[in-house]
Amino acid sequence: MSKTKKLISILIIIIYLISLVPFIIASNAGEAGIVIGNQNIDVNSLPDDIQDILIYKKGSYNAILIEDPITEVNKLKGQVAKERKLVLSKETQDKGSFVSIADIEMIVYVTSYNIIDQPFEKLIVGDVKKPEFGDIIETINTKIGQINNYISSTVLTLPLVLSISKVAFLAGGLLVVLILTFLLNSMVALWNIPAIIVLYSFQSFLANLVAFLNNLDVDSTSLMFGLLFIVALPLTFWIQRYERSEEGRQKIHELYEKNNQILSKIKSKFGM
Amino acid sequence: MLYRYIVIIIILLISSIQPTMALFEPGEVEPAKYHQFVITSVSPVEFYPSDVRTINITIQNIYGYPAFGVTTLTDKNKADPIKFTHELKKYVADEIGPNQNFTVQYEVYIQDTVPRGTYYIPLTVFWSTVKDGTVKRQEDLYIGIKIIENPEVIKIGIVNITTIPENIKPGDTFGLKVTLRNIGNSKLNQIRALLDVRMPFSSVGSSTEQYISLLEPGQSEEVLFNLLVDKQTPSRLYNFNFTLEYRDYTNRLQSQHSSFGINVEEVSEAYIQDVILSPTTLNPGSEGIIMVKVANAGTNVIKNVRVTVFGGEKILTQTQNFIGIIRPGTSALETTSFGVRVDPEIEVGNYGLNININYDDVNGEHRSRSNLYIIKISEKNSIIPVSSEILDYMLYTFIFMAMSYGIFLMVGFQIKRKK
Repeated sequence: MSKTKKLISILIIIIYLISLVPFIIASNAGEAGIVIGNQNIDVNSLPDDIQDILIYKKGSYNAILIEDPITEVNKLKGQVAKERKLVLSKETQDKGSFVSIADIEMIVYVTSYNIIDQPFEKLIVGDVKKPEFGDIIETINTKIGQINNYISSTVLTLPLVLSISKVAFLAGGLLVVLILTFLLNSMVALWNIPAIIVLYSFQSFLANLVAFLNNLDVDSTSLMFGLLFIVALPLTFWIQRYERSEEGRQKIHELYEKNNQILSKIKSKFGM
Repeated sequence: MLYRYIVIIIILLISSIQPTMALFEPGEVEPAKYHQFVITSVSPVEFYPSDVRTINITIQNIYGYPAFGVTTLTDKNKADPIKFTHELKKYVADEIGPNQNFTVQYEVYIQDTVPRGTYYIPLTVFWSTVKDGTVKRQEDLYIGIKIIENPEVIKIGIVNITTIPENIKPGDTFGLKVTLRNIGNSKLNQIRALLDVRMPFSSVGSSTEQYISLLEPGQSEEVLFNLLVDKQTPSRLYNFNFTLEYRDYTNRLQSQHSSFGINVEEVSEAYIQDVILSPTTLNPGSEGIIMVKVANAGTNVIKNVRVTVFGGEKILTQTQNFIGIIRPGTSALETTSFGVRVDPEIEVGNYGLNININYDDVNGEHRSRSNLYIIKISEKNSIIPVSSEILDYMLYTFIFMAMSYGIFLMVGFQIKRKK
């Protein structure tokens, strides 16, 4: 394997891992989003029925409008938009901050209230805080703004970046394995199978880690799958070596022939 | 003989004196046939309604002979409507010589109701022509008293009436603040403000009587009454009688009566008594009905009642129902129903329905009231007893297995071809 191929392989893995980061952070912060509006509201100025669902019925609340950069909602006339959440919180956060909502007292899908003169889909009563690694999302958002200003266009948006990251999360593992395979052997190999497990398991491990740091529940299946790469990684290297050996190649050939025999029997049984 | 005549003359004289003495018995009064006395001055002569003042009457003996045992008398019947207080008959002097003056004092009270004008009051003088004389002569003298308008303005003005809070609803406890100002030109003392509180109002935590010790001319003071209005009170204007009692600059008790109105008005009358969801659990794609029970908690009929539900676009089949009239009382509950058809693509979670009641109150004023009702859309139970997450995992596993099998076939084919 040439030095250039090695360098390209490492570069691809690094790009893949970096591209995962925005989606893993944004999708494992719970109810989260970018602050697009912030207003201090006296409790008495809120509609009576909204006051009913508040625990503290005196003083003022911060009405923080956040836009979820991942979740989409269907609007009228077939339009799709990012979900907007109005958080009634005692804490406040600046515009442009990436925040998550903690100690949630109530989440309601409401569309009929005009509280800060902007529409929203979800009303949440809780506290806003900065999620773990939320600074990375804020930095990306700031950089996107700077790039857009530089090119005087809004081609690049945070949702677009997160969509690209999501694609990398869903299909990146498979693509990276295939690219590495062609760089190394120019043909698919059996080690690809545990290698795919390694990458997806590692993705899951990172996602579980972020969720855990944000005090979110992680189901046991995800937890187990997230740890599978520990076993799958050495297995990948062992299979790679084994299938290159003569013994391994012979064994694979035998298994392939057996498989063909079984397929032939099935075909003849069904008259195919 | 001479002696005999003298005795007869004495007997005749005695017999002639006896009838005369019988004619003038002690205490007998005869009107004077001449003017012995005149009134030379009366002070004061001008009185105001409600006045209680002492009048000085100076009388002069204008006859050439002295008058003995002089007394004066006012007749209460002849003096009406002017009232003389204390003793009406006064002893003046044992002897009033010719051209001599004497002064008598009477306390006079002028009633409030006495019409303005001049009144002539008789004053009778009794005297004897001889010292210790038993026969009295009498002469009626007249004094004139003029009743005029009092230049002193004695009045308290009610300059402001406010309630705290401004709008009073049935069942409310409220403060009634009355601002009083002395709009007269003399100071007023011991002011007692009395509010006539009757049902449906009652006094709470304070008396219906309030006191102000002193009000100088132009000065204002506030009196506060704490009241409670019964919760069954119909909405309308209620009249209160308000009495002010106080002492004026002459320490006389004055009273003033007035009245004012307080409006009792209900602000919110209609409310949602119950919301019934059937079936109680909703899933994406499920159908049902939601019943909203509307009651009139007020005391007046409400009209044009409409129930509109906002925020149920993906849940309800209709958004507005018309009820019409709702009479007061819990027996007049009205139920309106909305069809439920949950969008099969809806996301599970809590959905807030903003149930709005619009109506016209008894005064024709349009009112509305809204309530947030939260409907929970739960995940639909699958016919396969596994969760959607498990199904997802199974799908991923199948894809992975298929992909792995494909790789195995490709690898095996390559090895076979090389051999």
